[in-house]
Amino acid sequence: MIIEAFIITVIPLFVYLIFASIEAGASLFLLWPRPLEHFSWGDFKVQGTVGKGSVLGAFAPYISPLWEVTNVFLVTFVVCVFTFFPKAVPVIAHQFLTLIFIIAVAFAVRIVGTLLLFYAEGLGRGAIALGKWCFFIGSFATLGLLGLLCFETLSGVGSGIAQGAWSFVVALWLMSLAIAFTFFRWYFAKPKSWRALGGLVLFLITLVFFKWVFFTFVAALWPYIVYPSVLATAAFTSPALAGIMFGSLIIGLILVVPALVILLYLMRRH
Amino acid sequence: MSPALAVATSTTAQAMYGRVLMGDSLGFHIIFALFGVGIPLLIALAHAIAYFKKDNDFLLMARRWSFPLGLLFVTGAASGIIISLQLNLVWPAFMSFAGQVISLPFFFETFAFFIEAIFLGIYIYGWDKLSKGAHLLATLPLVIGSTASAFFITSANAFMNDPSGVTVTRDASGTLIASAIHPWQAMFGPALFHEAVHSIISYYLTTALVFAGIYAWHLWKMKRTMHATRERYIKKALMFTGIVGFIMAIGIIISGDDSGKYLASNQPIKFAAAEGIFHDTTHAPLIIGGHADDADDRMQGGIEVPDALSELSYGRADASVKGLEDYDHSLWPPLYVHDAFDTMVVIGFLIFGIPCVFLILVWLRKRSAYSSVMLWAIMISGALAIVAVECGWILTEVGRQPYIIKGIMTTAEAFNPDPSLNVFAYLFPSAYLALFVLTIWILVRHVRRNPLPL
Repeated sequence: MIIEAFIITVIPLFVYLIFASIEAGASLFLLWPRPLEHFSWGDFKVQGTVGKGSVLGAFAPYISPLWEVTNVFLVTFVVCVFTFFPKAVPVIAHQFLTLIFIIAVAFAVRIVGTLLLFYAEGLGRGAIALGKWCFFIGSFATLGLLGLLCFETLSGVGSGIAQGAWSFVVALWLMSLAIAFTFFRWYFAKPKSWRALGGLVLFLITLVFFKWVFFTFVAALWPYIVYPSVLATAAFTSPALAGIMFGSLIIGLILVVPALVILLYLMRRH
Repeated sequence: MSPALAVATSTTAQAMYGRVLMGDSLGFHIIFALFGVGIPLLIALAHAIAYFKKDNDFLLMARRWSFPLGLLFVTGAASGIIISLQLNLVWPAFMSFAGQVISLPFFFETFAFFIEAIFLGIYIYGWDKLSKGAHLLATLPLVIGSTASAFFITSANAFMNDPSGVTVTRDASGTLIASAIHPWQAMFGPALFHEAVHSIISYYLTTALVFAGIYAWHLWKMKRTMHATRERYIKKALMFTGIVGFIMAIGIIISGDDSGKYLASNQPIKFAAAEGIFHDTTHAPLIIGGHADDADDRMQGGIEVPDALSELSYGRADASVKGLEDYDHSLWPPLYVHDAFDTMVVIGFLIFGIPCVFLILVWLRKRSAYSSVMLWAIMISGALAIVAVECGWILTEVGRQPYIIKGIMTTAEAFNPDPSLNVFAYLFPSAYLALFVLTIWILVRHVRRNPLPL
C-alpha cells in the first residue's frame, strides 16, 4: 500500500516535468532572434491569434491552453506528498524551507512571463522582451530547482547543497531541452510527412529514456521520502484514508484522462 | 493553562509573521479564486441563453468573458500553487496533522482543478473546433469543476472551524496524536454545508455584481455618444448580470441567516465576538456598529436593536445568547472581528437592495433605471461585494483564533519557528501585490483594446 502511494505521488511530478520541459523549450525558442521559418529544424507553419506570423504566434496555440493543466500536475504532486505522507511535512519544511520558497519565486516569475507574453496586448518591445526573459528564466529555474530539491532528498546532507547537485541540475536541463526539441520537431513538422513521423519517434525515444532516468532515481530514494531522516512507512497517512484515496484516484482518472485526451486532440496539428 | 496555550503565548510574536504571510496570500488568492468560481457560471448561463434563444449578443458575452476567466485562472493557479507550498512551509505541524485526517478534500480538489483547467482549455479552444451543442456542454464541467474545487477547499476550512471525525490525544512531549479517524466524517463536518453554501453563493454574487458594475461604468461613461446597438448589448449584459446578482443576493441573505444560527449554537466564541456580546444575555440585542472595548468588557456606541439577536439566532426573543465571559480570556479572538462581521452584514443588505431597486425600475420602464445615481450604485455594489467577501473571510479565520483547528491545535504551535520565514513574510505579499497589479493592468488594457463591436 505504501509503495503504491509512493509511486502515485511521483507520477504527477514526472508528468509535470515533461510538460514543463516542453514549455521551457518553447521559452528558449521565443528568445531565438529570427523568425522560426529560418530555424534549421524548419517547416514551422505559423498560425494563431497572438502576433500572427511571429514566433510567439507559432507557440501560443500549443502553450496557452495547456500550461494551466501543466501547473495542476505540480499542485497534484504537492498535495500527494502531504496527503499520503503527512508526517514528512515538518522535516521537509525544516530542511528545504528556503529552497521551496525560491521555487515559489521562480514559479511566480514564470507566471509573470506567461501573463506578459500571452495575455497582455499591444506591448512595446521592452515589455515583450521582459516577458520572454521572465518566461525563460522562470521556466528553467523552476525545473532546475525542482531537480535540485529531488537531488537533496536523496543526498542526505540536510539543508546544505550536496556535492554534484549542480551537475544533476544541468543534466536535467539538457534532458528537458531534448524533450522539448524533439516534441516541437514533431509538432511543427508538416502533417503526415516523414519528418513528422521521425520527430514523433525521436520524441518517444526521449520520453522512454527520461522515464528510465526518473524512475531509477525514484527507486534509489525508496524507502525514504527524505534520506536518511524520513522513512515512507513512518510518514505514511492513516490506512483508512489511503484506501479511500486509492478508490477516488481511479474515479478521478476516469474523469480526467478522457478530458485531457479531448484537449490534446483539439490542440493537434496533425 | 494547557500546554498548548503556554506555547501559544510564548511564540505569538513569531507566529505573527506566519499569519501576516498567510493572511496576505490568502487575501489576494481569494480575489482571484472567487472570480474563477463565479465567471464559469456566468459564461455557462449566457452560453445556454445564446444557444436556446439563438441570441448572438449572449454568445458574444460568453466569448468576451472567457478572456478574464483564462487570465484569472493563470493568476489563480499561480497563487494557488504558491499557497499550497506556503501552507506546508509556514504551518508544518498543522499540515502534518491535517494530512492524516482531512486530506480527502485536498486530494479531491486536485481532480476538480484538473477538470476546470482542462475544460477551460477545451472551451476557449472550442469556438471553431467543436459543434455548438458540444461547446455548450463543455461549460457544464467547467462550472462543476470550479464550484467543486471551492466546495472541497471550504470543507478543509470547515474542519478547522468545527472539527469532527477524529479523536485527539497528546503524548508526553505534547505532540498531537490522531486516532479513530473517520475520513468521511471529517470531510463532511457540521460546518461544511453552512459554510460552503454561503461562500460559494457569495462568489457567484460578487462576480455578477462586479461584471454588472463594469457594464454600468460603460453605460455611464458613454451615455451621450453611445451607438444604439452597443447600448442595447450593454443594457442586456447589465440586466443579465443584475438578475443573476439579485437571485444570488437572496441566496446570500438566506444562507447568511443560516450560518449565523449555526455559529450561535456550534461556534459560540466566534459568534459572541462577532456580535459583540460579553455577558450571557436573554433578550439579546443586535448591536450594529460600535466598538468592542477589551478593557471593561462591553460594547461602546453602536445601534442596539432590542431582542433581535436572540430572535435571529434562536427564533425566540427570550433565548439566551452566550457571552465571551463564559470563556477564558486567552481563548478570545481579536475583537475587531465584530467590525468585519458588521461590515459584511451591512454590505450584504446593500448589495441585495441595489440590484433589487434597479430591476424594479427597469420593470416599471423608468428612465431612472439608467440614471447616473443608479449606475454608480451598481458600480459601488461590485466593489462592496469584494469587501464583504474579505470581511467574511476575516471573520471565519480571525474569529477562530487562537486556534488553527478549533479546540485541537493552536495557531502558534502549528507555526514553523524557522527565523528565515520573516524574510518571506515581507517578500511574498509584495510579489502578490505585483501579480495583482499586473493582472488588473492586463485586464484594463484588454478592455480598452477590444471595444464592443457595433
